[in-house]
Amino acid sequence: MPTYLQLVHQVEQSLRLGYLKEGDRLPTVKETVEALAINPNTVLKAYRELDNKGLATGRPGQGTFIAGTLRRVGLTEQSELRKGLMSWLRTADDAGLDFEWIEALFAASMRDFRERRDVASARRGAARRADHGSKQTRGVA
Amino acid sequence: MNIIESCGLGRRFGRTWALRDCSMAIPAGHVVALVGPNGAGKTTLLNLAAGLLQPTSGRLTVLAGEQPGSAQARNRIGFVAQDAKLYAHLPVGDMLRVARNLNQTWDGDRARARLADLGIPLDRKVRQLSGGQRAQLALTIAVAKRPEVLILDEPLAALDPLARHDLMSSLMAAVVEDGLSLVFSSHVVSELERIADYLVVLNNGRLQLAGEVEHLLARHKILTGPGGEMFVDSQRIAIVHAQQAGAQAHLLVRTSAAEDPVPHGWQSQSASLEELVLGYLRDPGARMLPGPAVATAGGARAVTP
Amino acid sequence: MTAVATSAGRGRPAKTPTRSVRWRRLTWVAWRQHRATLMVFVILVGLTAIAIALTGFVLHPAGSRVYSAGPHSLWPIYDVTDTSLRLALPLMPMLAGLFLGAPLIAREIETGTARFAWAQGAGRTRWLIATVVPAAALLAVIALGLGLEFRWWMTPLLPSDWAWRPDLFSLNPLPFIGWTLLGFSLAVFLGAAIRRTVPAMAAMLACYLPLMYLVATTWRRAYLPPLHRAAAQPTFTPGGGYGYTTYWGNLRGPGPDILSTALGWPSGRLLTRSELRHSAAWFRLHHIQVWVTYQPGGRFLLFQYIEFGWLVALSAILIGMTVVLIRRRAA
Repeated sequence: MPTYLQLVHQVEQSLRLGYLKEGDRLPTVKETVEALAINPNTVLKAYRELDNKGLATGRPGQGTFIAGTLRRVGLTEQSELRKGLMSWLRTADDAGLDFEWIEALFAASMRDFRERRDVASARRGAARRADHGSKQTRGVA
Repeated sequence: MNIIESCGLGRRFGRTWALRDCSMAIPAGHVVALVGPNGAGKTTLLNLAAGLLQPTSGRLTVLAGEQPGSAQARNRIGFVAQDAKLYAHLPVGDMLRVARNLNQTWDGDRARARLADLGIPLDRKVRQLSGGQRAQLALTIAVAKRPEVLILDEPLAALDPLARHDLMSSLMAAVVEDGLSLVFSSHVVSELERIADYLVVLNNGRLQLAGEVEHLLARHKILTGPGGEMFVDSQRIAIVHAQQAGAQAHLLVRTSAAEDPVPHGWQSQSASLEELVLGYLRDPGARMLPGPAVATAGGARAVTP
Repeated sequence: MTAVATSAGRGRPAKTPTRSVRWRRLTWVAWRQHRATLMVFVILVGLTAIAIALTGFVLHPAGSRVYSAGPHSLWPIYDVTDTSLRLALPLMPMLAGLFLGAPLIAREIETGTARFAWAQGAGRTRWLIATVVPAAALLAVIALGLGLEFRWWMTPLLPSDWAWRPDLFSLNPLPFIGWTLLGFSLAVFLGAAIRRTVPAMAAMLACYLPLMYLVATTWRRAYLPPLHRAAAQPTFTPGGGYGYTTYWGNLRGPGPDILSTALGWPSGRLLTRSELRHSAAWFRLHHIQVWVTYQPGGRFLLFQYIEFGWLVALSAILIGMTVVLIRRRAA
């Protein structure tokens, strides 16, 4: 996985676990870079991606702050999803797949799905920023 | 601005060409990794860029048109040679003073603050410092002259893993703080993916690969498939390097800009930077170079399958 | 991919003001590098100067009586000091060359610190000049001082022509400066050319010693065409002040006119050492006319200037060649 996505997922995980809350300031590019010894552009890219996802925004001169929360999934929705998973597992088992095969299949599918979704969200974010920019100029005019 | 631009650059030592027919244009604002096996010509190229060597053939300019080694170039480029040789018998404070006297611009406060942060005392002699401390001192001096470009020749080679990490994080912090462009050479590829965003691969004195890492990684894939006959359409997909591992074959391929369909029976995955570099190094004839005038346009040359 | 600088913002504080490189600062760098060697050298020179002064004050009141033997003779002091000085002083230019000149550039190239120094803002040429010229100036001053002091020491103790003697001429003030500068600049040039300290030292000796020998025995006589004069017997000191005498006579069998082998004169034969001791009467008896080739005393200062001139010119050429060499060289 590209490094910048690793950073994004780390932030998301911290949000999930409650280490980060809305309004918290993320470390500056310099602090992150010094701690991890990675390319500054990677950090910038990660922060941009968090912006695309609506999770963080940058305030000029002040830093990057957590702006949103991860969407919480409701309990009924979760149990529906679980039922769906169980029926799929039964189908796979009937087809003769053993558990290692099922795990490999699942991991590959999840990886593909993730890649596609991240590409799509990046495109969405770029479009949204362009849209936002044009809205701003209209507002000023 | 291109920080290093060359056309047909070559350098000969006696009868051996250490560097040959090198044409590249490295843009500013990047962390550039220069990789290749030992003896590939990395030190030669960096010494040429710093003005410590003269080219035997071809042209080389730095910082958008300056001659390497000219007063302008010397003041705006910070260079740390391999093994960072400083005056061993001087105490650190005097070493700083020597560097200050030899340069036009100098930020002494910043240098001393950095050394204090790193725990390097000013009265200790340079030869009494550890390898990592000496490397940090050389870096401090290079950064304190406020250059636009830092060129480091194998800065990590002689360091233990902790010192390597510390030096890299100092380097990255300097890149952020001062907006430096960074060019460094390394013969270890595994750690580069996190650090470099522009890659130059030298092999046997010749340039094999030059371009932005993101772009290069997007254009290459690893195809895994059944060994034996390889029915890959070599018209549309250029094979960089093929490797047989028992019944399986792994191919490093370069795709054209559009998404190419994966041949039947093969699986494709994206290549890591290490796999990319190793694939090219194993096949010295393979090349992927941008045109000399434009830094990032990808112009693939023909590759023998 | 946007460049880091524009995205991260110009976080740098204002650039420190540019100033042109000052020579005093560069000279400090050279001094700091070589101060140990310089200090040792200066101390040695100082000790020598003190020794000369002390023995001089002791010996001078006696004048030419130092040669006399006897219970309170000063001869031992004179003899020891004279011999040591005549050995030690000509060594000084060689030492300056070997230990100060040869490592000056060669060591920096050997150890790799030249790559550091030459990549900095000041550049190679200024670095080179600031390293070489102040050292050369210091050596010139030391040589002048020692030369003058030696002359003060010698003058009351030897016949007036002592300064012409082949082994002592180079210790006169002006030639001494020249030889010191030559030793130094020769070593610096060889250091830059050979790029290793010890081989440069060896090469310097290989060039310098034969040159010294050649000049002392042969070349110095040729600065200006010598004069010739018939003499009654070989020992001959024309003029007053400093006379330069060559004890050559010639012999061509019995006959009235025997000529010397001076330039352009018909050749004869050089007298042997044993023949030199015979008296005027002996030569008259054997019908041998002795001729002497000499340089008149009035030319003494001119000779010093000539020697000083060509030595300093050669030194300057060597330093110039060093500059050219360093500018063109790979690090």
